[in-house]
Amino acid sequence: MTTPPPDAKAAIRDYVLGKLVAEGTLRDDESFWETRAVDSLGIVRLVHFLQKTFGIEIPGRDVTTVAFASIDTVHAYVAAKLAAKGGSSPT
Amino acid sequence: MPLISLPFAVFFAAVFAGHWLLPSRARVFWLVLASWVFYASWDWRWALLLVALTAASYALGRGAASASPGSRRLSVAAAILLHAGVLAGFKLAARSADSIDVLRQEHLGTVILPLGLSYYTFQCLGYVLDVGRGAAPATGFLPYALFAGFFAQLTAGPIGRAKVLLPQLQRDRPFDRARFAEGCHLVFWGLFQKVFVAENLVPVVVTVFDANQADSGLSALVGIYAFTLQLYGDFAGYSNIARGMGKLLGIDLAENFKLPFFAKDTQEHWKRWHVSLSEWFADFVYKPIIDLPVGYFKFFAAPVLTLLVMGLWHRLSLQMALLGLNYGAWIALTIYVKLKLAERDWEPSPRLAPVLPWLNRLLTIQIVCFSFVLLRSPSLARAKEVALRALSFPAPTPQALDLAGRLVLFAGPLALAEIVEFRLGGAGALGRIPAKYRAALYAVLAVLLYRWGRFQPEAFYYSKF
Repeated sequence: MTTPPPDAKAAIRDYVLGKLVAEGTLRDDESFWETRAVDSLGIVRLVHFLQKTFGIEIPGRDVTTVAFASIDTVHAYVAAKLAAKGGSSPT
Repeated sequence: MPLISLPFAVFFAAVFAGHWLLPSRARVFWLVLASWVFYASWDWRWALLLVALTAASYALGRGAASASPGSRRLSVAAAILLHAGVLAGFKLAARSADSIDVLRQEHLGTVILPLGLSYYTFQCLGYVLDVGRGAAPATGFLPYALFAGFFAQLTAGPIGRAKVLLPQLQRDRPFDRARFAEGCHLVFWGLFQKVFVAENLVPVVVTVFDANQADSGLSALVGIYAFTLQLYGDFAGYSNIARGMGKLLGIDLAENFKLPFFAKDTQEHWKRWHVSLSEWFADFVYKPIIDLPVGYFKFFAAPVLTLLVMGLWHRLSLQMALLGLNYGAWIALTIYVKLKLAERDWEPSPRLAPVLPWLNRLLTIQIVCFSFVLLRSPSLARAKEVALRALSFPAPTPQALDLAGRLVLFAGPLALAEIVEFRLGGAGALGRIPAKYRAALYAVLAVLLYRWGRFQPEAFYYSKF
């Protein structure tokens, strides 16, 4: 199985903390929804970022509060998409 | 036993003294007893309903914590059926009871809507759902009974959640001077919001909405603003009194209002107004919609459908459905516009940047105030009439100037306090200013209360839901 590029999680983390979390910080395993640090608008923006950065297509049905629960789960989702795609590296 | 009354003051003093004099292991029992007595003082049958729902949700919570997935699912489904069934049953029975006043116990046939029914059914159902999602269940029946029916929050929230409130009730809560001081501040400030602000705005609102006597656009506009501020003073006042009483008994209840008039859009306003209910609906209605395996339109449908359910929760009527749909549509539109702006990396020009947040706040306030016309109007026709009149020429008639003067006098101190809190860093900041300034603030509030306070207030607006 192809693993995502080593800096993928850092890129996701930078985007979430830099663009979506209004104040404070968020651990990789903390829930966007439970902490209410990232709202649904933030999730859609994150999807756009992931599609653009990693060249993957993310259908709306995949975007759930489980797959998009935290930086960790988003990273796992991106890893799976990249693996299915054949290991593309980020643009 | 209304919250703002001499009997309740005596009741609370006895509960407070007993709580801190008793050994810590007896305190939970004492507060449960006090809560049930408080509720029975309205109607003993309501207390039986509360005890029955408490026992049922406690048992279902144990099932929801079970290791067996089947048992968990069954308990959660049973809890949804039970609580939604009880709530919907009462609401349907009282459906045509627009004029019913539950606090005066006027009957509609044989149906009385129990005071605060929504709040404790939401609290109990939320507990089972939270436990089903992995939250720790209550360690015993008594702490759970206090969680479900604590008198301070029983009639209109804030709705407590298992992860935050239960742990507090299951451990020793030693007396804390800072929490005590904060509790006193919240009770006093909440009393001011209700008795000075909300109650004095009632006649302005009644003139415009009930008597339908607004003689110009300005009168109607003032009436619309007055209702929003009356509602805010009433509900935030209740929430602050509830939180203050909680703190006096060593319990931190959830914050329910986070300076909502400083929201820059309707989506943000939803997160700052009646926060405990908004979060409850976000968790149990909004999120399941987001989890549906459908396209991105769900991100716009979710706020509309969630707010529709919230609207219907107020009352099962077309008017309340429109209230929810209208506000949900504004939130969906807000999300769409913000998304488009983010996609284009749009940034305001340096000249626009400092004023844009305030323009957005001003626009949001208009949307909120005009939306609440649907909540307050006795009928859809009246809502339309009042809203259209407010949009007509704002002639400064003697009536309009009188109503506007009262709005400024009675809502002005609240607005001023909120601006100071906003500048100081957020809701509740006035309770943390140095003691000498707080003493001056309390002196001013006391004078205003003495001169204009209406100490035989109407029932809290949201307790009837």
